[in-house]
Amino acid sequence: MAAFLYNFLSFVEWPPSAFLDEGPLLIGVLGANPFGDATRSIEKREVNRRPIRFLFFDRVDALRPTHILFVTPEFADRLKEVRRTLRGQPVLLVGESENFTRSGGMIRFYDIPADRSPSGERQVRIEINEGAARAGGLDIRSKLLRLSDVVNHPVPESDGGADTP
Amino acid sequence: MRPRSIRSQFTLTIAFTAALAIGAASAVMIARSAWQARAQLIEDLDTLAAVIGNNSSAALSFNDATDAAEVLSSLRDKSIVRMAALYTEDGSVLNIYRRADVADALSERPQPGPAHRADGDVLHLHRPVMIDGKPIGAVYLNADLHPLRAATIRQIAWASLTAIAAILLAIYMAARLQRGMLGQIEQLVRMAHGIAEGNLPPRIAGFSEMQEIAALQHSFNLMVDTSRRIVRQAQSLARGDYAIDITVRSDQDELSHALIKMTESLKAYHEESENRNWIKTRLSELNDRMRGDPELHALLEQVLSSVALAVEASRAAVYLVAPDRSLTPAAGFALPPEASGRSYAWGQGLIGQAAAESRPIWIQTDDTREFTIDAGLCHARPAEIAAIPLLREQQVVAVLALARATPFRPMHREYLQLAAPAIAIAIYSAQARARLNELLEETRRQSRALQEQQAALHRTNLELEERTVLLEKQKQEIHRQNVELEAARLDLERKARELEQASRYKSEFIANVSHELRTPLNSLLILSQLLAENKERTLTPKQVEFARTIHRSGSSLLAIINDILDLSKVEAGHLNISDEPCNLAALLSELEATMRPMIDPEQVDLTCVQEPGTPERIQTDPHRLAQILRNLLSNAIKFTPSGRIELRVRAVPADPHSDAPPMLAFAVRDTGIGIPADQQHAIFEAFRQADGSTSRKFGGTGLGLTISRELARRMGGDIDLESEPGKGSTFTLHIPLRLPSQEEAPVPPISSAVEHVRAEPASRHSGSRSILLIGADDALAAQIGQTADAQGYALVRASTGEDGIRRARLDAFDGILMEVTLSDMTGQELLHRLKLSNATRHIPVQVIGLSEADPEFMREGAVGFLKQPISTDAIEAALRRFAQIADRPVKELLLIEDDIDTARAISNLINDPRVRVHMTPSGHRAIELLDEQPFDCIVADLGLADMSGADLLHCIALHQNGQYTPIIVHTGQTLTREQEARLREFAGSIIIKGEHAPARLLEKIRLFLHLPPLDGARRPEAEPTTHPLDREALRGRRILLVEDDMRSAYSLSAALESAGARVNVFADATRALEALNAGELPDVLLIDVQLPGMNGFELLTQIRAKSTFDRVPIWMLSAHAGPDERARCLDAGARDLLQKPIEVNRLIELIGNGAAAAA
Repeated sequence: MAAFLYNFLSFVEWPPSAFLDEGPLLIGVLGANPFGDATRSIEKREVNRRPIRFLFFDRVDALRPTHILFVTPEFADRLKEVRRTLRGQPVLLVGESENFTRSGGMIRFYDIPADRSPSGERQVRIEINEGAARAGGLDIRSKLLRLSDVVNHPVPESDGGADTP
Repeated sequence: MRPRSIRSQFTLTIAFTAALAIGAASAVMIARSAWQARAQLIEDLDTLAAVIGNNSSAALSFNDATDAAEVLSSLRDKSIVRMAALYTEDGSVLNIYRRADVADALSERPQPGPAHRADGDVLHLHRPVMIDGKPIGAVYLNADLHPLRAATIRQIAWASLTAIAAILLAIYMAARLQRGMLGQIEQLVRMAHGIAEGNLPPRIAGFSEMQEIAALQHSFNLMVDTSRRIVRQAQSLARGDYAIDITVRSDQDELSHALIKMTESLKAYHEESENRNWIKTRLSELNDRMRGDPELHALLEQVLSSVALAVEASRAAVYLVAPDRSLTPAAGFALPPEASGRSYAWGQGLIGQAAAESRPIWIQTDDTREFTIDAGLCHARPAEIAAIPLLREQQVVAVLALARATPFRPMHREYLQLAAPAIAIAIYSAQARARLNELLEETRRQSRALQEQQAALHRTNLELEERTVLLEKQKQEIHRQNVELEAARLDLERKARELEQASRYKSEFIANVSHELRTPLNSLLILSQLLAENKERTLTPKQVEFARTIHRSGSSLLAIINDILDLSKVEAGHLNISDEPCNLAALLSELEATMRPMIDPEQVDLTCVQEPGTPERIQTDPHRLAQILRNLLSNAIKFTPSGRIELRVRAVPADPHSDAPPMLAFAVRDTGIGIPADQQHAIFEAFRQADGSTSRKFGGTGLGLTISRELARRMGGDIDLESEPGKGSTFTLHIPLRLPSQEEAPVPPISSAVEHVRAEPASRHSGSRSILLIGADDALAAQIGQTADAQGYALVRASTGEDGIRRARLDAFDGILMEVTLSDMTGQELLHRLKLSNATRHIPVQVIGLSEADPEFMREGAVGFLKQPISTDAIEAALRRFAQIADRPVKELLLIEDDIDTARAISNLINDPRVRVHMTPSGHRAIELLDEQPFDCIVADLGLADMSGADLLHCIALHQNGQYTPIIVHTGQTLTREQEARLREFAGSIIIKGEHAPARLLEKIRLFLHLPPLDGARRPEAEPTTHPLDREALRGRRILLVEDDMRSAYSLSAALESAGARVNVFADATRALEALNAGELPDVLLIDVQLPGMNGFELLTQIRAKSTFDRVPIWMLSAHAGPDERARCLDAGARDLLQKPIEVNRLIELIGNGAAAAA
C-alpha cells in the first residue's frame, strides 16, 4: 500500500510551489502508521532525483503541508478539519475509508476480494475524485486515470471554502 | 590435361562469366533487401514495444493486470506479433497476449535492457519500461518471421530465372561468331600438319577475307617455297656438288646462311680428310721402316730416306746429340760430298738453334736474291729449309734437317711434327740398346771380381770365430770373480750383523754384570756398615775406620755401576728424550731442595737465580734436564769444599747468523779447585778426570759429565766449560726453548681459557691451589679451566695417562680430575697406578665419565664422580671436595671394632699425627658419631655385639648425607660369595683379618685418607743409612730367609740377628718348603724372587696355599723389581716387594711393625 503512495508521486503533477521545488518529496501519514517498515524501504528510493521522506502526524492541528497525506480511517471523519488546516496547499489526500472521495478526499484505495475480482485474485482498486484533485491544484495523469475509477463528487465546502485553482 | 577445342572453351567462358555476374549481383541485392526488411521489422517491433511500454507504465506501477490486458489487446491488428507479455519490476508476469492461433507457453525471462534475438522463425524482443529513467517493468514481443522469409525466397527465384536467360543468350551469340573464323583456321592447321609430316602441300590459292587469317595464309605459302629450295640444295650436296645455289633473302635468313656455311664446311672437311689419309699412310710407312730393332746407323738411314721421300725433300741429314751436347751428323740423304761431316755446338747454326729452342724452325728463302744458308747441306737455293729437333720426354735426341725446292705444304709440316717423336723414341731405343749391351759386358766383369772378394771374406770370418771363443773364456772368468765378490759381500753383511748382535750382547752383558755386581756389593755395604757401627765393641777404632772405608768405597762402586749403565744406554741410543712443558721455577726449586742437604751451609753458599726475561716454561725433557743440572751441581759441590756455588738461568736470544734457536743457559759457577786448561777437554771424555788423583780424593767416576754432555746434545744443546785452576769453574748448559723436533711435536692445542690458566705462576710456589686434569677434550678442558680459574685454582693438563702420572709425581696437586677413557690406558688402570705409587697416592682423584658412577672407582680410592655433560655447578662441587680434603690436615677415621685389642693394634698401626682415630665398639654409637661429624674413612668390623654387619653398613649408607665416605670392612668372618657381593655394594674394601691384613688395612686407610707419604720427599734409595740399628727391634722374632746368594744371605741375616732376630737361611725353595712342612713356624718370611729351581713366586704361592701360614707376613726381595712384579707379589699375598740392595734399617722397621700388627 505504501508502494502505491510512492507510485502516485510519478503520476501526479503538483503545481510549481515554493515549498515543493527542492528538498525531499514528503509523504505524510495522519494517524498510527499502518505501513510498518515498508516506509523505510520507500525512503531509500527517489523520484526525479529527489529523496522521499515520510512524516507522521498524530494530531490534525500538527499537520504540515506534504505532497501526499494519507489519512488513516481513524481520522476519516475529520477530513473536513484536515482540509481546513491544509487549505491553499496542494496536498494529495489519500485514504481508504468508503466515503473518502465523497467527503473531499482525492484518491481512495479499496479492495476487491478474490471472489468478486475478474482476475480471480484479490485486487486493489483506485478511486479518484478528479474534481477534488483539480480543485486542490493537482493534475492526475491520464495513465493513472485510465486504470482507476474516476468519480466526480462535488467537493464539500470546508470552512472558508476551497481556493479556486 | 586433355586439349579442348577453342569453340567449347569460348562458349564455356561466356556462359560462366554471364552466370557469375548475374548470380553475384542478384545475391548481393537479395541479401541486402532481406537484411533491410529484417532491420525494418525489428525497428517497427521495437517502436511497438516502446508504445506498449509507455501505455502500460501506469498499469505496471499499480500492478493493474486488467489495464495491461487492455493495452496488449491493441496488438490484435498486428498479425505479425505472435505473443506479447508485460513484466513487473520484480520479473513476474503482469499479463500475456497471444495471437489466436498461438498457444505457446511463455518461456522468456525479462531482460534488463533492450535486446532481441532470432530463434528460427521467431523473433524475441525485449524492452524495459522506464519511468523517470528508472525501470518499472519490461515488455516482451514475440514476432513471426515467416512473411519475411517468403519474400526473400520469391526474390531468389526471380533472380535465378533472369540468370538462366542471360546465359542462353550469351551461348547463342558466341556460336555465331565462331562459325566463320574457325573454318579457315582449321584449314591452316591441316596444312601445318602436312608440313610437319614432310608432305609439302600446294600453295593456298584463295585468301580469307579476314585480315589476320589472310596474313597467316600468305606466310604459309612463303614457308612452303623455302622448304622446296632447301630440299633442292640438299639433293645437289648429296650428289657431291658443293656449288652454292642459295639466295639470301634477308640478314635474318639464318637458314640460308647456315646452308652456305654447311656447304663450305663439307668442302673443307673433304680436303682435310684426304690430307690426313696421306699423313697416316706416310707415318705407317715410317713405322714399318723403324720396326725390328735395327742398329742405330741403319735406323737413321732408313728413317732419313723414308722422311725425305715422303716430303719430297731434295736433301736431308740427321744430327745426333752427343753427351757433351754437341750435334754431330749421323746420316744423310742425297748429300753432296762438300756438305758432309760438320758438327755444331748447342745453339750454333740453325741445327744448334733448333736443338736449343726444342721446336722446329722453318725458314723460307727468297727466290729473287742470291742467298745461301749454311744448313750443312749445300749452298743451293732451296725454297724452304727446316730444322726439326727430335724430342723424347722433352729431351732433344737428334735434329733432323730438311731442304725442299718448293716450300713445305702444311700436310708435310704436320707429318714431320707427328713423325718427330716416333723417330726420337726409335733413336733413343737404339741408343739405349747399345748402352745396355755395354753395361751387360761391364756387369760380367764385375761379377768375376766379386767372386774373388767373397773368398777373401770367408777367410776373415774364420779368424773372427777364433777370437770369439777366446772372449767367451774371459767372460766366464769375470763371472767367477763376481760370484766370489758376492760371497765376500754376504760375509761382510753377516759380520756386520754379528757385530750388531755383539753390541747388543755387550749392552745386555753390561746390564747383567751390573746386577751381578750389585748383589755382592749389597752385602758388602750392609756388612761394612754393621762393622763400622761396632755394636759389640770388639773392634779397634782403626778397624772401625777400615770398615767405614769399605762402606764408602762400596758406595762409590755402586755409583760407578749406575753411571756405566746410564752411559751404555746413551751410547746405545736407547735413551728416550720426552718432549713436554717444563716449569722452570718448579724445576729449580726442586733441584735446590735436593742439593741443599748435600752441602755444609757453613762452608758453602748455594744460590739459584732465575734472571728476568727467562720464560716460565720451556718445552724439553724435564727429567733429563734435572739430571744434568744435578750432575753439574753435585760436581760443583764435590770440588768446592768451601766458597760459593751459584746456578744462574738466563735467556739467550736466537742468533740470526748461525741459525741457532733461542736458548736457555744454565750456568753453574763454583769457587772450587778449578780445572787446568789442558784438561778441560778431557773431563768430558768417559772415565777421565782432570787429575788422576782426583778420584782418590773426591770419589766419582768422571762419567757424570760425559753422560750430561751426551744428554745435553740429545736435547739439542751442549755444555761449555770455563775454568781457572784455583779460582773455580763455570759449566754452562745451553738448551733450546723447545726440543729440536723430530717432527716438531707441538704442545697439544688448548683453548685460550686454558692457556690463560697455564700462564699463571706455578701453583706450588705462588701458594695457590692446582688441579691436574688428565684426558678431556679441549672444550671440556676450557670449561673446567674457566671454573677452576674463578675458584682460584690453576689447571694443569695432561693428555695421556702416562703424562698424567708423571706430572702427578712431579708436582703437588690438590686434586686430580681424570677421564674414564684415555688414549693410552683405561681409567681403572690410571687410578690404580696413581693409588699404587707412594708419590701420588695421597692426591684425591675424581673421575669424569659418561655413565653413572662406577663403584669400582670408589673402591680404588676415587673421591667423586662427574657425569658428562658436566655443569659448572658440578665442577665447582668437585673443586669444593678437593678443597675440603686439602683443608683438613687432620683426617677423621672412624674405627668400629668391638675387640678393644684389635682396635688398639690398628690405632698403633696407623700411628700418624695426621690421622685422628675415633674408636667405638658399638654400631649405634658409630651411627651417632656419623651424625655428629663427617669422617674421611670408616673401618668397620662386622661381628658387632649390637648390630649385624649388613645392618651397620646399611645405616652408614643412610647417614652419609650424600657424601661418599669410603668404608673398609675389616672382619674375622669368612664370607660367602653372596655375602661378599652384598658387602661390596657399600664397602670400598673388604679385608679379612689375618697375618697380612694389617699392612693391607694400612694401605687402604692411607689410600682413602689421601695421605701423602710421611717423609714427604722421595728418598734416594741407594743412600746408605747411618742410623744405628735398633738392637731390640726384632727381639725373639723367628725369620725364615730364602736366598741363594750366600753373601747376601749372610749379610742380611747378620743385620737381622744384630737386631735380635733368629734367622734361618735356606738356599733354595724346595728346602725351605720342606722345613715349613716339617713344622717350622717362622714369624716372618723373606724370599728372594730369583731362586734356582722353584722361583720365589712359586714358593710364595705354595706357602699361601697352606692355611697354616696364611697369617705369616712375607716380604719378597729382588734385585730388579718392576711395578708388574710388585703387583704380582702383592696379589700372591706378599706384604711387599723390596728392592735390593736392601736398606737394613727399613727392613727391620717393616718386619717389626708387620709382626707387631700380625700378633
